[in-house]
Amino acid sequence: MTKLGQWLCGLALLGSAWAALALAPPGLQPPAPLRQALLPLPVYLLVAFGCYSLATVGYRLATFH
Amino acid sequence: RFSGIDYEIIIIDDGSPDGTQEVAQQLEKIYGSDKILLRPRAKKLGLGTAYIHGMKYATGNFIVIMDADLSHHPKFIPEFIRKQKEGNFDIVSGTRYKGNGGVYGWDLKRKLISRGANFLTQVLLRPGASDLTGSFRLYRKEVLQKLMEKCVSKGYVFQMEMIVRARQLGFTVGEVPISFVDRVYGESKLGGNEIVSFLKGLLTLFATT
Repeated sequence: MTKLGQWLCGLALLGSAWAALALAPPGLQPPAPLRQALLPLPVYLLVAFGCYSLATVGYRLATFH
Repeated sequence: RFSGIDYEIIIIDDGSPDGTQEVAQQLEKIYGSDKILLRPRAKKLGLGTAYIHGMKYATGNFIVIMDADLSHHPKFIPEFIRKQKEGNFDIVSGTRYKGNGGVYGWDLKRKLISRGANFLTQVLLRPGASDLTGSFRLYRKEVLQKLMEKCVSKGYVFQMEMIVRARQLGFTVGEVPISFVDRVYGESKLGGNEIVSFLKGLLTLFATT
């Protein structure tokens, strides 16, 4: 499988897990605190990754011999 | 010469205007044409074909590929050999990004672009090697031949593709920190064009390997 394929599979897996929990019908919804954290999770992870990237590249630049 | 290692040097020059061939011919006279093999080409034909061209004349078991303008210093070659023996690696890659590897002669902007591009490459390709665009490497001869058949890209991406394909084919890659010394005379710029073609190549490798 190509790297792109791996990424798409991974995203599909996480995406469907997130959708199942976050967009579930009223009968099957998880408890309120969990739902509150779940909805913004994708955006939060994206921002966290962005910060990690900046920090890593910055550190590597600073220690580049 | 005194290290006890059997070697030959194959020089491929595509008609450089700076007198490279004359110097090489003099070296050939001094050291003998069994040790220095000058194999020039009529015009500038590109790095990939230079590898193929050179390999035709190589008689050894291992091939070290390097730049001839001392941006890659030969003092690292014994390190490469030592590393290869240590792990019986198929490829030993010189890395600028690990250990005391590094570059000399780059400004901050160039270093930033280099680190940024490498980070992106690591995230997308997870290649298991810290420096994909370097071109100072030791290859087992059969491995280099196999890789040349499979690789299709050009420029920086060609160097990246070699490592990626090698991993795909199950070859082992060891690393040795090296210093890259950018040329002191003249400009060696990294233009917008090269950045774009690097990104295109990276995405192609991402989608096809």
